[in-house]
Amino acid sequence: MKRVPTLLGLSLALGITFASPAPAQEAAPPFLPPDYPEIVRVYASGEAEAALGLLGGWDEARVRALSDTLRKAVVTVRSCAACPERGRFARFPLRAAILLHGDRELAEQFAPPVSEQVARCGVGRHAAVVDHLAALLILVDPEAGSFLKRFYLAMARQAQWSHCFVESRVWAQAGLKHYPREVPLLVAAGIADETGAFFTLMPTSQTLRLTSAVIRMRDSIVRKRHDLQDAARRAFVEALVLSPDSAEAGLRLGRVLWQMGRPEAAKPALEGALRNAADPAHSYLAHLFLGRVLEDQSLWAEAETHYRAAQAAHPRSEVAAVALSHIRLLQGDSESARDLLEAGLEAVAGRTGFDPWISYLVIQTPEGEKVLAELRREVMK
Amino acid sequence: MKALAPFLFGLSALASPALAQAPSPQAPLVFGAEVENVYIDAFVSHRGDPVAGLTAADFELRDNGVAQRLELATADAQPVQVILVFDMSNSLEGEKLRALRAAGQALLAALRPQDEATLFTFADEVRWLAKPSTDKAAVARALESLEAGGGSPVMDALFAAITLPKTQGRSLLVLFTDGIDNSSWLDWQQVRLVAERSNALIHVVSLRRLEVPPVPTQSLNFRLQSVPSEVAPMIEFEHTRALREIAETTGGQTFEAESLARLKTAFTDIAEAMSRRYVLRYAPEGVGRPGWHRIDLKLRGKRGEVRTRSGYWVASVPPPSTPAR
Repeated sequence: MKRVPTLLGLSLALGITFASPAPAQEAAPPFLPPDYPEIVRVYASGEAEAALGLLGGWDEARVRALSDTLRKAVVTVRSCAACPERGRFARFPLRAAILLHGDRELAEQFAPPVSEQVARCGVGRHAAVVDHLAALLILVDPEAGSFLKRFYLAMARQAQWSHCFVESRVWAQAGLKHYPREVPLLVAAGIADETGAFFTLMPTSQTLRLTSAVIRMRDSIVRKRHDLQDAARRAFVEALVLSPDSAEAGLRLGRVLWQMGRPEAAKPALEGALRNAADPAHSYLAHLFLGRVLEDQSLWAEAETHYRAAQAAHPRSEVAAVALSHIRLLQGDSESARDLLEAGLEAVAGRTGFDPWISYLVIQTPEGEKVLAELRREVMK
Repeated sequence: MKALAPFLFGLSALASPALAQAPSPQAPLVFGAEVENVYIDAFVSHRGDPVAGLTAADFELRDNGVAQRLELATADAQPVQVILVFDMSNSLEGEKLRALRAAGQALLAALRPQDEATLFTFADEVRWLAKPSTDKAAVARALESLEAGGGSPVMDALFAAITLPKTQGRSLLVLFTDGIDNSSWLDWQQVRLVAERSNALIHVVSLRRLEVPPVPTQSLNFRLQSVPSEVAPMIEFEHTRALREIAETTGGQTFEAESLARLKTAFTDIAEAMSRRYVLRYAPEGVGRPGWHRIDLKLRGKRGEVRTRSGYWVASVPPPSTPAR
């Protein structure tokens, strides 16, 4: 993405055309804007920066017009298998076009948070273009699935990383529209709702002035969080139906159920996650979450066993040290509570990367960007 | 009178293991000790100004509803341990951090030679940067080394700051945060229980929300924008209530600085108020020992508002997971 615009890119920006049109232009459906196929071809040739710059110069009306054109093309291609449009789109670099518009969407709608208090988020006009391009790709390319599933997941993850939870769900749902049984997308949609619920500020029953507007607002926030949690629960349940061994879905289902005040339902989900956990981070979190369910039931010794197992799974975890220290304090042992906590704080100094607990709350790694980079490499070969 | 009990019956009591109940399966929360004397740290103000010159006779205290005979102990004789707990999340970068450093330095400068100071910070992790010491210069150096960046585990930091420093004297904890907890393991109800059983006086200093998202946002991690601005001030959110309740249960209060310049004033006011507090002592009479002791302290025949902790806990019966009060 950090390439310097080349002569080709610059020439396009200046409106200079080459004598021999590129193959993509020849194959392009005639109703597309004349400069569009070339921008896509520039992107596919590896000149992503130049292509993004050119597309960035389009005003909203042009992007909307492109979106309308593509929407009509989807109808045409879907309804007429023998029409020449199908062949033309089959030869058009649709994957590159999807990535190009995805990249523009990322640039225009998401920004890594400036601070934990400020995030810039949105769903823009390029998302609609992507939607139509994806529909075309599915119609003309039987191998579209492996590309699109990864693409939508990456976009959802990127949105999550940018603290844009609504948008993360939108991208996951867009993928699910095409691939409703894709477990990672179901889990991504659930994560978006779970995180959205976690970060919804809850009003207390005490308010400064109980006007009807305040009561309505307070009730709507409470309802909204519950709805988000329930949507997350449904997504994780569905993921588990399709993939009963999914440790992540089990882990998150258990946590959401606990948050919804259903510890008895949470426990088997978390125990299942623990059984199925291949990733040490999942087993660490399952132990922590199970510990908390038991702690709430005043089963402190049992809770401590899980907290100790969490610490064994992740010895540099401050969170496990805090949990363990607190449970020792509950049992009256302030000396070991203090020692465990102090050792835990010191152990963190040697850690690299985030505690899995932090990554659980908000995906803290630009994981989506890695997948997108991989997809770009495939397309730009 | 027998040997004095710890200053209050919080974690300081647990410094003596012999007094703590041996752990057993499902054992109770034990913060208690053999209670001989109870020390109550109180602040009295009238129309916002501290009230000085009061005597024990000016106070009326009820322990679980039973009136007690009070003595006034000398607050000045007690060294104070000041525990600074500073938010170092991303949003603190730049001007805010410089203002916070200056405010911290001002508070340290207001301490007496016998007073101790210690420093905790929290971002992605909680860090104990300066252990308790009368060497305030060491804490000042730690303050100068602060760098912002990361999340905001407010409750975990508060838990650590209450739990780790050992003191038999008065303990003043000053928490600064400009945001909302977004990554603690412990929730505020858990930390409130620990706080009310500690001997720490907790003050919370925050900044009035200064930053506005640079562009209209459709979503924000904390969703402040989903509440219309004309309604938001009328709603108390859980995070605000959490910090207020934790502070108030220990006899402390919350301060919201209206500007960065006011931050320093808030910190020095806190330090100054410490020397204007009253330390009251009594040997509980006519009340059962174990369990939660609710304290009601008011002035007798004087005008003023009394701020003190809501009660204390004596061991040997299992406390409820959330005290019914």
